[in-house]
Amino acid sequence: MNSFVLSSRELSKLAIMALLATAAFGLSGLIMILIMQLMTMQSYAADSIDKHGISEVQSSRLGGVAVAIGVLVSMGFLLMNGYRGSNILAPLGIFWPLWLGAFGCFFLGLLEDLRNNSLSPRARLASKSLLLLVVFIVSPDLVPSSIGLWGIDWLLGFSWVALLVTLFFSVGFINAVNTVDGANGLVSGIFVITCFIFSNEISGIALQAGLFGASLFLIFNVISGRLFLGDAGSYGIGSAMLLSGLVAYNMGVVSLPFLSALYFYPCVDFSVSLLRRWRSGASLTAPDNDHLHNLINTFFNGVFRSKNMANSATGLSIALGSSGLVLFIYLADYISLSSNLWLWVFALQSALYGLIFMSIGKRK
Amino acid sequence: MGKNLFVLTGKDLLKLSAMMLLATIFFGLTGLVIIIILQWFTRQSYAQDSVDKHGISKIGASRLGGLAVILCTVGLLGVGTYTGLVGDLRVPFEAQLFGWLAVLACMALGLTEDLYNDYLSPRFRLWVELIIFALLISYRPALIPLDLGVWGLDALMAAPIMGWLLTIIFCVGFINAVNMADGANGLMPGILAIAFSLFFSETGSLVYAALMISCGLFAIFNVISGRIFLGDAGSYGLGAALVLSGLFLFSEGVFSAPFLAVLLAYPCIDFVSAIVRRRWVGRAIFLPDNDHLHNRIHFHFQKRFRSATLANSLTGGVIVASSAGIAMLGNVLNWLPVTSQLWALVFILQCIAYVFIFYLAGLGRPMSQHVIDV
Repeated sequence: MNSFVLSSRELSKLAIMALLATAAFGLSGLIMILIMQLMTMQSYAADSIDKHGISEVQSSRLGGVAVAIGVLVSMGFLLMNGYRGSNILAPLGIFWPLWLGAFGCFFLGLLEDLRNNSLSPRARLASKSLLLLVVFIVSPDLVPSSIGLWGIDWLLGFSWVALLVTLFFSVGFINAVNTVDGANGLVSGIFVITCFIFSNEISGIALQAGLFGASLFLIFNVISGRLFLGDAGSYGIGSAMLLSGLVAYNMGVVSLPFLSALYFYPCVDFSVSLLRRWRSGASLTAPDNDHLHNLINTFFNGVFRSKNMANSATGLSIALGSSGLVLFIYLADYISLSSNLWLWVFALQSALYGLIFMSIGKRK
Repeated sequence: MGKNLFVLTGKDLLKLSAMMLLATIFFGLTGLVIIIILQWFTRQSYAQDSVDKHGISKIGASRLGGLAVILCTVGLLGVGTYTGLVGDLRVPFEAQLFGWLAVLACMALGLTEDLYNDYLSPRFRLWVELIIFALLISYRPALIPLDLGVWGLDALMAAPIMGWLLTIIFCVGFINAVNMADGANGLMPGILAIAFSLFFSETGSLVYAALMISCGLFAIFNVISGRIFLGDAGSYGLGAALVLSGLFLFSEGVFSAPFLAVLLAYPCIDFVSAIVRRRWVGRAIFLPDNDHLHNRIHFHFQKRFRSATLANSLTGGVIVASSAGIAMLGNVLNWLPVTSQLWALVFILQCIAYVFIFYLAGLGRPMSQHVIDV
């Protein structure tokens, strides 16, 4: 068995994670934390230091696998106890095409995590498109036929146009989630908030299982900084967020502006990145370290001595400042989820994004 | 300590995981917190136990286990009191503060020895123990067992000075017996956990629940990791808690003397056996050796198992199961009431089994194993 050096600080972190997980989720929480700790000790799928321009400790990219295990364990536990939620047709509960989409994307990412660059970006894009196309063909209800905008609604009236637009948006969204996955707790924080709101509104057991898996990953990721979602996690979570959003929209539970506000950061940061690269003449798909989370991390690096703390502060502040704002308004019951007033929240988020981007960017 | 690095093997991390899981399964979040506290104790540089001090352990470990158990017990009692769980004032260490003071004094005596090895001479420690129990028994004469059911002994105990003196000698002898038997992983912690769980089941007292939880968790940690021992603080302090609780519960009619003898058979029989053995070969009766039953059993286990910790823990486990484990099993399966005198028969069987196994386990064991240089 391998020996490895573990500082007393890291052992303290493990103790804190174990305590938090057990306090929140009991024995199953503790088991998941120990599984994640075991994953960070594996030599395969180790993340290169500073890959995302933020992390500076050796870590594993198998976080997505940990979330998936958490989701499956939790689902199994709930099903064994005869619990199926108040709505058995809830998304990802038993509706198999959604599982196909989420786990198909997950496995696509896992292949990349385990064998780096085994699939070209083009092949991954084509595979994701094909997977989602199958999902949308099997579940045509997921394709929106109207979003309340004159002109676009007319276009969406043609089913094949609606399918293509939804497919284009969906693949873009999953890539956006992958792009912003770099700061501890950012994507997982947004996913936890998503699962919390949707499981409250739709009561699907898969969303509750997602809340369990993602919350435990969030605890581990934020405190230890040694486990990242990897492509498996970001693709899997991205597709789960996308498909649950489409189902909720299709059921009339949420409005499109609500989804825009909830998924504000990946969507806006991805769009801004494309714009920035296009303006500077760089390749649109080439990665860079000039996202808002990179800028905020530079700021926090000057505030905190610990790199991990700066990283986690970056992720959490963005997750709380974007989707956290939505959660706050939802909990305070200021705006109904199906209201178009969420557009104002989206506008506020956009203004904040621009303000912070410019002020920190200038300082940099 | 914050910047220290230490090598933790994958096996060590697996052990830590196993301990955390077991602790959480049995005792919930409280168990997890205490396991983490125990893990912290093993990393302290002071009070390190020398390898092979007891003739069994072969890895470096901390002697602060007793202190950890006492602190955890006090913490649990504090939480219990804060949350309003303490209610029954009938039991010894809630109503009898003086008993707790004696336990803490014994623990402090042992802790001094744990922190500063050989700082106090054996004679000094013995005198201090005698004084502590003399004061306690003088203050609480009700603890003198007057109705043991043994002809002759009852008359002796009834004599004012003689009963007082014999009780003091018994108490001091018992805590030294506990100290002597503490060497194999899980041996004394297992006996302590079983004893306190039986005390708790019969009285419903929170103080025994707290001691049961602390000792149970310590036993899990001790058996799996082998990196923390009770130390003198634990064997003196918890030995004192055990003997005083036993005397109190006997005086209250909760347990019969033979049942307590079965429950605490191993430290008592092994102590008497060690004294007889040393006297037999003409050695000083207080000179430590490696010829206890647990040393003999361990000698055979270590030949069969590659892992030193496994051999050590199995030694402790087997002895606990066949001594205090019998009392626990009898109680759970309702063989006899805990107030029955018929437990004396079980105790006699335990004595016979001890002698028999002691003889068998001594076969094929080289003489060089018997005595250590002090």
